Amino acid sequence: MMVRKVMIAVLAFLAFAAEAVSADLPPEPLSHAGMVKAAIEQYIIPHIDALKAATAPLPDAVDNVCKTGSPEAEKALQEHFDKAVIAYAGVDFLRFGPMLENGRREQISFWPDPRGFVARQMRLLLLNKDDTIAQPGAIRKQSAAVQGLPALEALMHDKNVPLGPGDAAHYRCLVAHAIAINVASLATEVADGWEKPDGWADKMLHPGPSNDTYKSNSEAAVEVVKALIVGLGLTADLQVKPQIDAKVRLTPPYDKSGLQKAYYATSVASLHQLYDVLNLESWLPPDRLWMKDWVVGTWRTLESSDGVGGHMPHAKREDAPTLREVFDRTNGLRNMVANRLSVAAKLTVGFNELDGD
Amino acid sequence: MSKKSGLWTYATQLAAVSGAVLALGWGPAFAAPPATKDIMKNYGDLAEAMYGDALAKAKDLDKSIDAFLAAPNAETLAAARTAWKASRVPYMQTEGFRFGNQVVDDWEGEVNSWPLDEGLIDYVDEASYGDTKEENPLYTANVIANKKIRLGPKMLDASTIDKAVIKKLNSALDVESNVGTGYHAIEFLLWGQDLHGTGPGAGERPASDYDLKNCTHGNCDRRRDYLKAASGLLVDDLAEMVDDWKTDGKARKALVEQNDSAQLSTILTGLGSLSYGELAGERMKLGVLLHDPEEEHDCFSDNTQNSHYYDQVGMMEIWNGKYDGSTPVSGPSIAELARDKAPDAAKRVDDAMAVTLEKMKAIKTKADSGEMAYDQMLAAGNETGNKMILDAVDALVSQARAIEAVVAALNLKVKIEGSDSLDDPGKIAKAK
Repeated sequence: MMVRKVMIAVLAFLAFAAEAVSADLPPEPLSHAGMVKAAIEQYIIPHIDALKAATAPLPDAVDNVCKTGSPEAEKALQEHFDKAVIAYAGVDFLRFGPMLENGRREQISFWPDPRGFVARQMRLLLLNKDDTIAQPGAIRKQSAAVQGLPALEALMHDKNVPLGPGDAAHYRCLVAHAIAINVASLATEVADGWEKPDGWADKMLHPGPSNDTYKSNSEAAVEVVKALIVGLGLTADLQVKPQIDAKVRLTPPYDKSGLQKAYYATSVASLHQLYDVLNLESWLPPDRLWMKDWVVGTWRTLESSDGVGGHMPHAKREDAPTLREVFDRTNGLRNMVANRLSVAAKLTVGFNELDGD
Repeated sequence: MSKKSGLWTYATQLAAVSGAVLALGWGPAFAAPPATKDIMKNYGDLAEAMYGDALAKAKDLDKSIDAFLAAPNAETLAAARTAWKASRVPYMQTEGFRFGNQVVDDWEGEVNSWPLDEGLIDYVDEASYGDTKEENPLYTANVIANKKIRLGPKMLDASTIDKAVIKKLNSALDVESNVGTGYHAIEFLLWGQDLHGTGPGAGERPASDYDLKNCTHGNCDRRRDYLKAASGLLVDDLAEMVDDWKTDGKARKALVEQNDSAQLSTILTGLGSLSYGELAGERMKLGVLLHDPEEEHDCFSDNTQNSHYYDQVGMMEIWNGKYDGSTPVSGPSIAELARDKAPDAAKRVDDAMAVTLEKMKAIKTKADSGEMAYDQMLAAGNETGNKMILDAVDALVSQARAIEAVVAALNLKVKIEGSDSLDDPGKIAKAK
């Protein structure tokens, strides 16, 4: 039942997002400035706003659980949490600008966590029982691993000491409430960072010699194309690969809440939307138009998978693609965007945070 | 000291440097831009000289460890620690050769793997370290205390600790934090765990841990064998890398087999990837966001400020094609080419590198003075220290962006690989 509700939430989120990008794509190559404008107006701002809206109810939802401990309150909190995670999955790969500043992305969602920081540092935080954690802004000074959605999820799903009224959960409730406020506050900061006058949107829309980050429209366009490439890499390497390569030990995203499939579905659909908005294909010369068909087939494959080896209901493909196929196709699309489509669009894609070991 | 001062002056007086470049006849007004083959020859020469200095310092370290083991006491231990820190200076300058040269990337894991679960190697403080870690069955395997270690279905015979045995610990059971060799394994063996958290102080391993007559913590004979094997292996590995950069060495051959654009891209790929994903991300930002002293690069010795600083120094040397080491190298560089073909983009890199160096220098000065060690800077609530590190992170990200602009201006291409390919489909668990 819970899984079905989550998928309904995913579909609702995607319908909203699809509406945001429903404008007709131009027949001519989209200029670099046009790409940036389209990405900001049709993808980035709507999704960032969605994150802000989805995280806003979390503090009250935590409060209700802590005051009543009722199953209804618990259910409501879980539903709000799921929506927040799904909204976050739509912006996970926008790893620049206000998300990058001060480590806000890691503070909102410290995942992946291959070295188990969330569990270890939460344990220490709960042992210390420092009531000042409830003071405004106090949690923000703590480790990123204890101040975002994974930390809140850990508290929500600790069966030994569930959130609720009573002394045993008192301190945990203080922490959970502080985390919920923090996440909502971070999402608001990110939205403000994008949308305020002279904010990041303005910075990307007005490049030039005096701009401290983007010297040209091409550099700003590269930023959003890199986000797409990063997103494809994250999906392949962090969500799919651990399931088919025994050497990669990684817990799926928001596994305690059963959100692995929802996270995958949202990631893929969101990346598809950003891909469409950027319209890199509009730069393809006639002898390269075959790439469009390949890309269409790839999205169909990715969207026909539920991300764990099964079939996505109502998918265009009737069979369930294997995870190996999903991995290879996702990687292939990443290579296509990075090495073919961006070249056709006269963009030079450089470095991103996934470089390095 | 003179080298550091010289570099600092160089980096902060770019206008003067530009003048010097022109005076040497490399500038655009007086000469054609350097040819790729000349840039790459100088790049290879730089690598050979820089790895050569790293090898020389590793040999010094090996000798100092011999002296320490011959007479384990506080003075000889301090001398070995000093030698270890000195060995880091030239090695860190070579890290800009990573991420573009496959020969280096295939080799590096044996030399500078980090972070490591030190309980694999020796005793640890259970109260702070814990005794289990879900992701690593070898978390407290303690090969110094145990003559047999189970590696999945096989038993590792560690009855004699030698180079071959400790090499087998690297990535054992496919866990990256199982590290048996390299600088950080030696660092742990010389310092021990830093149990001061984000407070002042580094590891305090006693010299008696190696004293056969007055042994502390047991197994001093095996600990001695381990330290000597790790030190000797480091020398071997660095000697191999020096050979790889000699004329007709593997690394140089691999480069010349590529076309001109790919060769030049290799230089910038190394600098950009080290700046952003590796140094700004993995090594610096993660630590300060987690406020976790275990996340500092040289966490046992509290030498992180130097490792980061010399990474940046090395990147500037590779960019400028100039190294003032025991074998000075100076010649045609990617920077020179960029200054000719795309002066604005080149200046942006020069400026960005100078800013990064300034931020790194500030961290180094603060830590070297004893006022605030790098792990103290990481502490939750230390706004000054946190900011110093995040400022350096921001500078490194800007530096990567500037390098990216040079890639575009020179019409080069940073190859974006697909994710690590699944090399052997036969080993892949059957898809669900």
